[in-house]
Amino acid sequence: MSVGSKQILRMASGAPDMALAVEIQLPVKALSHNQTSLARLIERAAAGDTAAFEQIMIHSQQRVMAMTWRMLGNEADARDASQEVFLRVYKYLKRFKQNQDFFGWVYGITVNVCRDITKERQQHSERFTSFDAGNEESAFAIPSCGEGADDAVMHAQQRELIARAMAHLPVKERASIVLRDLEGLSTEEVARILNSSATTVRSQISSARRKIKIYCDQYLRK
Amino acid sequence: MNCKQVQELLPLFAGHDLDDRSATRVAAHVQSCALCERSASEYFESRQLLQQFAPPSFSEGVYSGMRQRVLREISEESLAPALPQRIVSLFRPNLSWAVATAVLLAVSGLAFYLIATRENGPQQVSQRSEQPNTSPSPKNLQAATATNSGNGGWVTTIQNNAVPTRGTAQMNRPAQPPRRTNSTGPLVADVAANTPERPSMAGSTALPVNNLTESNVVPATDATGSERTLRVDMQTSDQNIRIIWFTRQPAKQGTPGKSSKHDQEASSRA
Repeated sequence: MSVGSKQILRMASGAPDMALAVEIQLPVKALSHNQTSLARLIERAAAGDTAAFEQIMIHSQQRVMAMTWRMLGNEADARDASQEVFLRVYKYLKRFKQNQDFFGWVYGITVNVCRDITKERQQHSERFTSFDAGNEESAFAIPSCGEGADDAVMHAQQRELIARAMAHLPVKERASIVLRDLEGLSTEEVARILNSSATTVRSQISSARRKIKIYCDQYLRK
Repeated sequence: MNCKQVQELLPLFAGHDLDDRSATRVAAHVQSCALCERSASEYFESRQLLQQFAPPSFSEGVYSGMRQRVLREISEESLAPALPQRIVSLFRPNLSWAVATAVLLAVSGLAFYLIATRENGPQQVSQRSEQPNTSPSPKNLQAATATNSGNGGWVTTIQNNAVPTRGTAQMNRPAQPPRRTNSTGPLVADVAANTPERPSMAGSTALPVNNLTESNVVPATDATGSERTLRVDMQTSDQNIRIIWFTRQPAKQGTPGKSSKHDQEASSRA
């Protein structure tokens, strides 16, 4: 029996020579195994093993891309930001401590990168999102026809509404609500990632939810 | 709990971010207040809408392209570190640099201390000579001249911007005696006196010398050591007129009045 699994044997009724074996993978042990392998990968990558670092990227690329997309609002910026995130991760990997939460650490870098990109964008007086009608890369392209087109249209409109509401949030509030409500982290974890206090994060989350509600009220309930 | 307080807490209540006690009180109020109940439902609704803010499913090509770009940049940076990075690395905190800086500071401080103590010799002379008689009298000058000439050749320079002397005979009278210290070499005393009066070279009044500045006492340049020379420079109020008086005395002679030779030199206007 492998480590991290539990085997249950049950004798079949009426047939003493037959038994049913059920092997259940224990999630705690499995998570520990993943963490161990990730820790090894981090050690190797910190020593300069690019193959190990590529494995780390494969492990975390979806989270990073989702986070950057939610922070920046379009695929092109999300790609550039994710690339910069992984470059910084590689650069500062030697500073990472094994007792830290790796993905929390990566989230912190991601927030910093997105904040830098947002600042650059504001300096160039560009818009936050690229949800223009003619933009081919728009993430919320509305399907033109087909089965359930009405639902899809309404769904896309709602998503665009939320995207615009998110675009009006300050960077800190946006990061807080993305990490708390969309990435599902606890308030304490968000505070740790943002180098802030839980009270501050709660205040930012409250303010962000209020602004989003007001924005939605203006367009949905008028 | 009133409506205003509940409205403040509703955003956190909708996200289950309140502690149990506050959440219970808000829930009780919401059940009894229609307005707050509607607000709470709107918060829940907007939070559900927020869940739709999900990224699209990126293709594997997007991810692999990103990884390749990252790895390419890493390899380029590892192969050829940029010159700016090398420069920046020089300014990073480093223990060896810190130690080197500390040693350099210590050596500099020691050198400064040694130089300062070497230069204190003449300053000590001037400090001691400043002691009781800062306003000279002719008697003091004579005594000083006698003392100096008796100990190996003092040279005293008096710079006076207004020398109301009437003749050359009185010019050896006033001076502040620079006191002999443990310094063995001959010294020069620069004595400056500033009076607003215009100099008059005629007459026989005593030479008033004010504001003696004895800080300029320096070793004289008596190469032979056989004779002692007293030099008195007097700068009149006219910058173009400077009176220089030399007195050469034998080694065992006591007073400047008995000097062997008196030289006077007055430079006229340039």
